Amino acid sequence: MSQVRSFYITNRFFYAAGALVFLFVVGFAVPWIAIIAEVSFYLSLACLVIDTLLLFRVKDGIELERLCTEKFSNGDDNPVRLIVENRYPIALHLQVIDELPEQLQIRGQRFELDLGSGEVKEIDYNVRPLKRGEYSFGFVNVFASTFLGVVRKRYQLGEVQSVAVYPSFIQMRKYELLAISNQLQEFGVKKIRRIGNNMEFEQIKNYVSGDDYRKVNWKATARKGRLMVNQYQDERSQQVYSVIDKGRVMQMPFEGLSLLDYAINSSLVISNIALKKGDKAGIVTFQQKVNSILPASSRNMQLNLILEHLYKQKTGYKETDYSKLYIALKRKVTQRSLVLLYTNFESLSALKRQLPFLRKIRQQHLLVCIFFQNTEIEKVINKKAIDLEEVYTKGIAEQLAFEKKLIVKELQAHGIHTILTPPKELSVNTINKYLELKSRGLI
Amino acid sequence: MKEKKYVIFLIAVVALYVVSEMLKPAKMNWLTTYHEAHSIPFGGIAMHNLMQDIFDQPSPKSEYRTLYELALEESPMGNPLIIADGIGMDGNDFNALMKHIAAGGSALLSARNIQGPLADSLGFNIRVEDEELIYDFRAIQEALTGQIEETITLNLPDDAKREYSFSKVATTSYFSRIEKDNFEVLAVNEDDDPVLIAYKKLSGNLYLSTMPLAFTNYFILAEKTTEFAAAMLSHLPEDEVVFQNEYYQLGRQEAQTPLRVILSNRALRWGFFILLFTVIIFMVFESKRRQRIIPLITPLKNMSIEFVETLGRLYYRQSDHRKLAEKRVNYWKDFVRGHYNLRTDHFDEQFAVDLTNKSGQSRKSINGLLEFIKRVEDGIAINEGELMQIEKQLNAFYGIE
Repeated sequence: MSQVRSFYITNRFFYAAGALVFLFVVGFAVPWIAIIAEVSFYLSLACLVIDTLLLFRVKDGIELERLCTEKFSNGDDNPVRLIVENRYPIALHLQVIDELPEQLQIRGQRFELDLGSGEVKEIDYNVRPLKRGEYSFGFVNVFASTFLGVVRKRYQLGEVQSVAVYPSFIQMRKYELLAISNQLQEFGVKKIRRIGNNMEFEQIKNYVSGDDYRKVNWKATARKGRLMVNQYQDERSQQVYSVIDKGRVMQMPFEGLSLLDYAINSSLVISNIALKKGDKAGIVTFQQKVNSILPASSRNMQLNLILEHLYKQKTGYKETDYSKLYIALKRKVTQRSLVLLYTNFESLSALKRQLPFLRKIRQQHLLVCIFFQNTEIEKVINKKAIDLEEVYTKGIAEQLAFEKKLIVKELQAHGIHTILTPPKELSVNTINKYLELKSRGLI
Repeated sequence: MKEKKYVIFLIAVVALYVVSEMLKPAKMNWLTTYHEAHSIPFGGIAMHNLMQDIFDQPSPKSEYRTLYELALEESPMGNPLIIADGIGMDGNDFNALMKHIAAGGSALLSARNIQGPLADSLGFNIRVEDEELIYDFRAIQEALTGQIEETITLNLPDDAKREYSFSKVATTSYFSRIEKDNFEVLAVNEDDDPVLIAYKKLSGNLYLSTMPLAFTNYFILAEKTTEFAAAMLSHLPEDEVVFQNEYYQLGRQEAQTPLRVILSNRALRWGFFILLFTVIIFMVFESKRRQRIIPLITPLKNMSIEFVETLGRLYYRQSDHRKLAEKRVNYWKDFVRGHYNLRTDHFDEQFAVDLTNKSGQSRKSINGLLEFIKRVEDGIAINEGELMQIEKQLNAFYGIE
């Protein structure tokens, strides 16, 4: 029965049938062609039988394994590898259809490959999930056909596999390495001139070019016979809270990923860097009320806790209530902290409604308000308008983009730091801000 | 368990429906077919049994071709008996019929209406009354049960007369005019209008009747009218071959369509069956699943552009061009401040020079732009053309291709 179920037919079969029908129709007019047609019919029938025998005589003729990690990183390309082996005594043509998780909504993915007898090949492809949560891979369907290519045999291989899509830990790693090796400039992270100095002494080290020569330790230099400098410690154990607005305004997607997921990915990156820099990282999420608070800490476990905490986040995209946020921060976060507030304001009036609460939060903490440039609207701005109506549309788009700048000004006027960023560059800009604030000693 | 419940419920509903359909009184089918094998009221099975009694041949057959075809393909073709709701022969059929009659053959044509060359050449008209009794099943049923009857008088060869009482359904039409010289009247209705006539001009016999329903099961099986049909039929010579030509009521009953041609040729037959087979294979195999079902999840949609377009349309309706121009100037100023680090509180000569140097635009286009911006700031009205003009200038300034 399973043999019957795995029996499929190729297009070549239908082309051959079409050709036969054509020959017979011509044979109606020219009798000797009808004879050829009849002979070809029996030949085709023979091909069909031989092909079927070739394919179905061998059991378990194809081996396949799917390799992928247990966790996927949201919004990034995650590699998946299929390893196929042909155990038939003959070369085969394979069509491989992997049953991808339904969240990806990919229907047309097919791989065609030729595989010699006993040959092993690898198929690599990437999966870019856009939502956190449980993803499930099904079987891998392999359709094998021989050189005759009339019949196909389906193998259902591999195994049903579930994968958890986590906030982007790939980005986290990427920026982590860069932050430690001080190569962030390559990714657009600015090197900030140090204005304030921390006087906490750490160690004496060899002078390398670029070190501040005012800090040359002459005594040590004299002893060692080469230039030595004093190194001072960065301020440590400061609290960094990523506060994520899960409300209505964060639902808007850019390149398939919602602003909320951009914010979550970025929180993970910044928390990781903060932990690496010896600070304490914490998470607060809220919408119509404060949903969760993960207190800032610098324990070893903390990064994993943050990852799990962010993985679990669900939202109804309700209207956000900043008063609740203020109260929660007031009660639960007693130490002055860096508060990175991920939210979005589309207009100045939207900001004005929330401004009193933001000012209140600022009194106690160093508040950075992070919101997004609307890159979709910018596309309208950077396009030529053809008729008057389009000129109007463009004018309104410019007005909205301009308003975002006004929002920045308004916030700055109240001593609130801001990051206005395209969603894609959120992580980089947030890291920049964090490093800037730290080196300026504002916290 | 729950599924079982639904199945039982479904079976019960289906069973109930079947029983109720079975208990319903069968609906009468009052369609007139005159077909040799139909046992519905207006079918012709009873007449065929009657013909077996009257004529010498064991089983009179039916033909489904035109008289013209029959005359060509069968010779001699036998005496046609044509019973139909309406007969509209064309010239060829008519000629074939007349040839047959002229050669001493006989024919009986019975129809509610006869038109075309037949009526014109032989010289008669038929009038049809109560037309709803032809197609309205309810009216037919009411007329039959209501016993509205009409007496038909049949002239017998020995000048005797016999009367038959028919339901009005069977007597809806009669010959309203006949050429007296050509015809002999064999039966009349209550108003003395002929309902059965014989054409006398040729050596053979052509009988025309306006009462086809007299040949149906309903009236042949009713005792008081059986004889009328028998009397009409008995005008045809009993020792000659008679056939019922059903073409004029039912058309061709054989396999029609091009298939007849295709199936008759070996090569085409092969081709056809291969095609048919392939189509079936195609449907079976192409409908097989290649991978599991992927339910449709609608992705989040970014509505920003729709939002901007809606707002734009609203402003466009108002068409306050100056207000829009102001918005554009605001954005432009912000652009200049952000990109070129210039103050935009007043536009003097120095500003124009700096902007020209920093932006790399020509002095002329910068001056044009500034002139326009001054006009907007001064509150001078702007028209559509100028708005389009500024769009062009700004595109050039921003470098939008």
